[in-house]
Amino acid sequence: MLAGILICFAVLAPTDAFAYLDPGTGTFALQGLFAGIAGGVLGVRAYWRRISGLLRRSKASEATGSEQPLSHGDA
Amino acid sequence: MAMRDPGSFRDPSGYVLTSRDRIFRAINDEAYENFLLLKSSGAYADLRSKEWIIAAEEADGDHAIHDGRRVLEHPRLPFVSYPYEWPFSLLKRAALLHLDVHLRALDFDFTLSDASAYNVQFCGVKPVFIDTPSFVPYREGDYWTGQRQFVEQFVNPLLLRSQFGISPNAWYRGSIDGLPTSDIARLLGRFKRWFAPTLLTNITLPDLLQRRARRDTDGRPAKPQPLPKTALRFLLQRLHGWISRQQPRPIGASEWHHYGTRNDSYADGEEERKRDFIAQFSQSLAPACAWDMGCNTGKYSEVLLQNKTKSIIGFDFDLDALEAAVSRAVIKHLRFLPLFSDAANPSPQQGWAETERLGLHSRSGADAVIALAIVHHLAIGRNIPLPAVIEWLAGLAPHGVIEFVPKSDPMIQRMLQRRRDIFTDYGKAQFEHVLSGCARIVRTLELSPGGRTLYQFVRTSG
Repeated sequence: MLAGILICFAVLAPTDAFAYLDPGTGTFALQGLFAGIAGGVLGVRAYWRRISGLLRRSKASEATGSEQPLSHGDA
Repeated sequence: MAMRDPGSFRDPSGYVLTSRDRIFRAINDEAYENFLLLKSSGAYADLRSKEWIIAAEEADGDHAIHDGRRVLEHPRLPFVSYPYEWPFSLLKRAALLHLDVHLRALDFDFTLSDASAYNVQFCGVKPVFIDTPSFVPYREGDYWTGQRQFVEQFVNPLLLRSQFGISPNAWYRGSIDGLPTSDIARLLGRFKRWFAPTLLTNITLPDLLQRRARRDTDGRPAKPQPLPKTALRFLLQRLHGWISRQQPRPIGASEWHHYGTRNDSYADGEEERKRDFIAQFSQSLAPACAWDMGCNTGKYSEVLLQNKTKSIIGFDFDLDALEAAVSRAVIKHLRFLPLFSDAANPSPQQGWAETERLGLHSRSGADAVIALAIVHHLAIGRNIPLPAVIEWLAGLAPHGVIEFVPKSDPMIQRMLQRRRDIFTDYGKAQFEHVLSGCARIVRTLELSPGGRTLYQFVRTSG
């Protein structure tokens, strides 16, 4: 696993603006790993939101459909 | 004429200049644009209102441009100290400030381009971030470029003390860019290395990956995965929480920590007379900055500050006493900066071209110095010739008070218990003779007949 991480991140260069400072391959690789995990978590969360959003919308439209006559009745 | 600071050269975006008592910073176009953005974004005003960063204003008149670069002006600090001179609590305060500044800057879409401990200075015991060009616009996905530097310059020295009870100051002084993570990783036991999450993410894994990278040189460049801002914040916040919980592990039996509270060197009333003498000295001079050599827990620094001295820099080599001194300054809101220094081996001029970091003596701008009960520790404890000790102390400031401790004193008797007395030139007459050679003795106070004596002097030579 470490070798895999290494191949991905060992030779990453820092962004130009901060190029005067050597960020260190170790910390940079670790942040890359962290970025991958965080990216995955955020992706899952966004996907889950979409699914739950769709479910909520379909539930809401069902509810609205059944409530309509009542509201008319109230009026 | 403005002189370039020899320690300001690593970051090409700017460098520091001094002109008499004024401090300037010449910055390139990109850094100037960043500075304007920092101001217009509200980040500068916010950080200034918290007193987390030093003031920076565009210089005017003759100083507005230097060598084609825009110039900013900063207020002058009473003293520039280095991280290898900070006791544990001050290094911890500086580390937490650095993280606080970074987290707050992110709220305004700024990040810090590095994490140098030398970018933090102290006003009393309050840390302040001084490197304005370190603020650069944050771009979504940016990594924390300064993590390695932060770990080596803040985390590793703190760890050395909190985990092992080892003073990091001497090691740090010999390794001014910070303590290498590989060294600390070797010191940590297997359990701590792998099962303490903060050590795992900041020490163990970076060290392992760094070593592997050195061995495997055939990896191909890959597109960096962007680090979400929330993940960057998480990294900084976790480190902040972890550092907040670190406490200095006792180094061993402290010789001088209890000197202030359990002191048998003074009989009844002697300490009060000593205090009055110091108070009167301070009242008559009202120094802007005084140095307290051998400050211990800062008892007499506090006396000076209560009597018109505006700020004090204290020096001692006992780290536990210094911790107590920092607490005193924090609790009582004193403009008192207690620093680690072995008077027999003060900070030298060092770093690149031996001019990057200045020696202690060349940083002295003190108006007054007090050296209470320290001469015998240097002359007898460290075998430094008495004339050299007196001339060195008198050379630190134009006015001062030195306490002379005679050989009959119980403290010196204890020091000589297991040693042959080779100090034939150590005596009151010799002391007065040497002090009179470089200063005028203004007044004296013998605390007890034939006992410890205080000398107030005005330097006449140098």
